[in-house]
Amino acid sequence: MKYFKFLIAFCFISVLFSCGGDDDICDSGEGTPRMKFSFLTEASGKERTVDSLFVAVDYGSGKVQLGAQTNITSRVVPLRVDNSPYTDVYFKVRTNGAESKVRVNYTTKSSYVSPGCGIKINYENLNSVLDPTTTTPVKSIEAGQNFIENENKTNLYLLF
Amino acid sequence: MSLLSFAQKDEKAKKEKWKYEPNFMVGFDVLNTGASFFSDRKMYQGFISSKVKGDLHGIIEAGFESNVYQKNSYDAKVNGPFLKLGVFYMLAKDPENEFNGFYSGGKLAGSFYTQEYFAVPVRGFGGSSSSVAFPSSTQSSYWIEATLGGRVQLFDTNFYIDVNLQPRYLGYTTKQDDIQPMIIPGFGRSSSKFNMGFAWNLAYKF
Repeated sequence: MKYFKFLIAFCFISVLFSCGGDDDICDSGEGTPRMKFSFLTEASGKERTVDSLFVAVDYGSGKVQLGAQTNITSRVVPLRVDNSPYTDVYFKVRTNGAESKVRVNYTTKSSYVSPGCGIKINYENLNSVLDPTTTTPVKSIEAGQNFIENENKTNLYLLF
Repeated sequence: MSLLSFAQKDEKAKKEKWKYEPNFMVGFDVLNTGASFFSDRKMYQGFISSKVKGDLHGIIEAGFESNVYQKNSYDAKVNGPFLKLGVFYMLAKDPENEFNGFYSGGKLAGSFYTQEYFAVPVRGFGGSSSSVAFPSSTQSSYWIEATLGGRVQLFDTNFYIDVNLQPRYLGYTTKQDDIQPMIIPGFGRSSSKFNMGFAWNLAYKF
């Protein structure tokens, strides 16, 4: 029975391995990329720092507030991943201020990533429209890179 | 040259000396079969083993499993047969009955199954999530498996209880649209390559 200790030890070690288990974790950057918005001054066309920006997105069941960020030159916003061909994004610069609505139209392409992340969506043929009745605070928009593959390049410029 | 031929002769002599005596043990996994009545996992497996030479035994295992994977927004169903071939070595045995004892060994295994992914998740934000479904397809997976177990005779009958643990490592799998299979019949959950199985067999020795 001199092997017995070895046997038991091996069993316990194997159990450890088996608990290394399901990778349910999706590392950021591997999943569906977000859309990047940058800011310009309308008068000069120059890059601009926004002192505070409130973003809300309609994910299909009403507006979801994504909160405020201060002193930023760009902001990334996750879009819808369901079969909707557009996402409505709302911007305001003051808590109780006026709100601009931008509808981002796109086509989607899905590809498999990993067990944890499942499938990610790449957005193509971006075409954003600023609701003409809501031109405060965003006065107009300017298209950037018209597809979303990662979060490095600006996809839409907001002019204040 | 003469040395070589001598060695060959020696080998021949050894081969002649070893005589295989037909002996078989047939077992059926009672515990997993019993558990099948209470869960979505239906697992039926059994083995045939035979003492080949000395303490070395050969083993063939076969089984059928149907199972579901419903976790982390996945929804998948698989079913199919699997087959394992291997050998094990009696590490410690009862001097009165050489079939009683502890053993350890290795097996090669393959599974040939049908899978259907009803939902593979698309991870979104703010309650905006969706999934993509894939049609039913036939896949196969292969893995290596260690076996660690023990056998004990039931009183003075020809019946034995055989209990073993099966740590396994997934070697190769075919994929549908590059999707890593989440569950494989005979292997279990396969989002990671390591897994552990067990069997509690009631066996009969012929």
